[in-house]
Amino acid sequence: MTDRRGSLELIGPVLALALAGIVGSTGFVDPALENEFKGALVSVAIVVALYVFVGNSGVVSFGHVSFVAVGAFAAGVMTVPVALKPTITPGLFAFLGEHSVGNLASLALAAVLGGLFALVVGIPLMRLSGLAAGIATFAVLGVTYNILNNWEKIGPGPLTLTTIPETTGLLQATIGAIAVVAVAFAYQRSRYGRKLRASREDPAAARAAGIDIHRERLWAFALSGALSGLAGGLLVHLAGTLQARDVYLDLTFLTLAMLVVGGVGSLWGAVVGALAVSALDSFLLRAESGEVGFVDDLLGKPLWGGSRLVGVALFMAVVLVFLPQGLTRGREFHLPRLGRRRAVAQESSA
Amino acid sequence: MRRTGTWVALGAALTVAISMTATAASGAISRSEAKKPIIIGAAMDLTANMAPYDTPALYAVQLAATKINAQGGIGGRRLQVNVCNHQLKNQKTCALQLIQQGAVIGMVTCDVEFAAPAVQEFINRGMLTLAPCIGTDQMGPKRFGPQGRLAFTFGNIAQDEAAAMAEYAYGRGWRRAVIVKDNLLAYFQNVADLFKARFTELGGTIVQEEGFSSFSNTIQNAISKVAPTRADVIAFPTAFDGLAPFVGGLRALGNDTPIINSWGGDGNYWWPQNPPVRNYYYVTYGSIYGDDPKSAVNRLVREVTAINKGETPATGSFIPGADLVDALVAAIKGAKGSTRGKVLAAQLEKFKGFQATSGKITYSKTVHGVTGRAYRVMVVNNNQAKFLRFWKTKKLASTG
Repeated sequence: MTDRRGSLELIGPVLALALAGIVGSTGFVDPALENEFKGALVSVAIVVALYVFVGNSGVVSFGHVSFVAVGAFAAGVMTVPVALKPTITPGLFAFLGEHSVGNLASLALAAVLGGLFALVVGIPLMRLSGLAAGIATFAVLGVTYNILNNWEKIGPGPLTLTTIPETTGLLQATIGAIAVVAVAFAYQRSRYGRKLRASREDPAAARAAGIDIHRERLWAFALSGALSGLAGGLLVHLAGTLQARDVYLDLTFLTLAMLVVGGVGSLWGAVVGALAVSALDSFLLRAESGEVGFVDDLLGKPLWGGSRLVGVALFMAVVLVFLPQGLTRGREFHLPRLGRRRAVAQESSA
Repeated sequence: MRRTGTWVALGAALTVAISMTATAASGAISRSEAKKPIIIGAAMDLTANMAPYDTPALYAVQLAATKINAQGGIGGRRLQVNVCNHQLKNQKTCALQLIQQGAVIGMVTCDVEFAAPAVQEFINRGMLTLAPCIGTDQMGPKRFGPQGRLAFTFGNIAQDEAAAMAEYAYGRGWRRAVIVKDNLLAYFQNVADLFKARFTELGGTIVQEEGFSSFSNTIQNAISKVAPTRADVIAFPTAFDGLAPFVGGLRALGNDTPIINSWGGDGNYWWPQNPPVRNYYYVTYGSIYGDDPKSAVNRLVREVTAINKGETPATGSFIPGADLVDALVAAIKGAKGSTRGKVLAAQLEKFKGFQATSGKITYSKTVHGVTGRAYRVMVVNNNQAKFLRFWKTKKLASTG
């Protein structure tokens, strides 16, 4: 009974993502807005991947975008047509320059490399906790960025990689986001997820109960890295171009903020946070471009340039002041219990 | 309490759908005009780091479009410039918005790395895509593959600009050079590498090479390494946040070696007050200080200033901006009114010495950037900029 009720927690995130996918594909939506919907769905995938580790372990990671970056570069470099590689990325290792793969294979490769990278760096890092863990993961981000930004044997170096097939349509973005959510849900309901959450609540008690915290964190980190890599693959196939800066600090802070705004303690929070911040970001961008009629009418001109960044930051600040645990208060999705309410009402009237 | 949290979250999710749908509904445009305008979709940066380069170019394009329209447009069709300020963050969304608004010609920001997402989107839809001032040969097939045939820049390519810097420096009798390379953008890297190639080819010696990256707080390291070096000239092709600390820092440390920069170092918006900029040279498209030898350039400066609320253009990018419209008009006329990307690209590739505002423009099937323009060599002393002379590249630089 408890398991069945628990499974209902997945309905909210899946419905929200399906709704975003459906609304994005309706005729009301222009191509630019459709692109924003795709972006929101990919953001959900990244934030949920981040949540798998941060939400379940309680350890903040500033380095998850490294795994997104690895996935994005792997999927991007390996899907540029072989014929174009000698001119676009002439410095690649021969085995990278002479081969290309399709969309699905590139996404699988992105997930595998993201997971492996996380596993390798996680072995030493997962022994750390608190601020030390956060700073160490941030160091991983810095190292990854600099390697990707400079090493032309594995990518475009400081240049922008172009001609990447734009295969992340609304369907792929929706399926990708739902798949990441489903894996995250399955993990947090598994005994591994429960062990990690136990260690989050009380490390000493968890150790006393025989939980190997380092091992549990490492598995979660690797799984989270694999999902991040997959999300990176979705991202690069959405953008069609890629530069190391695209998967660095801005994305790190934006995705962490999405998680915090939604509620770091729940999967539902990760989904809501990513969608809400993406929507606000999209709305303000359009208002700045004079695309939102009522804002133009109100101000007599488009919103000031740069308002978007201020608006998103203010939104986060307001949410955190009034709802410190995020929009979902760190809780999972629950259907309103109408049946129980009716029964209570009948009992009291009797 | 638990239900309240669920409803708050549901409300947020609904807000997503409603706000996105509402903004979608407000984006519709009328297509009922009998003779539709030719819409140039400008995905530019008007407020972030590329603004000093993009804004003057955009104003020049708008100005030129107004003049064309006053003369009856192109075959009776008005030129309309729709702008989306992407702030270097949402280039692709901007490109899609502009396409939605009916843009048939794409215009992009003045650096190929920042422009790439919009370029890719425009050329994927078969649109001719023009950059007023991208300074490398990457704006074309070299970076964008076969579809890159639709991408052109009106900026001078790095092989030309770096050669002009090297030739001018060598011509001044400067034989020993330091190169400080900014690794942020391919443009800066190309100019630094090509300066080295041309300077050594002429007989000069590179006595020291340092590197840094804009926006990464690495410039101080370069300053401390270069300050004690004795050289005749320091080649410092960059823009952005490294300019003021490097130029000011070297002078504060007593190093008064001439510094030569590319067009990236144009403008006075970055000049430090103390110590002021001195012994600083750069090459550019046109002087923004009213002392350009060409009266047409000075007139253009006044016109751009007038539509820029009295502010002079930040850099000389208004010159290639004007060229862009000259070339576009000629291409559309040559294509008998067609605005199809492939047709217009074929017209532009036929340009051999096409006379534009700044001079003659020649393109080929492989090179979609400009060579052979006369550079203005400018000097700044005590925060006063002055036109020194013209310099035309004698031989393109090549790294072999």
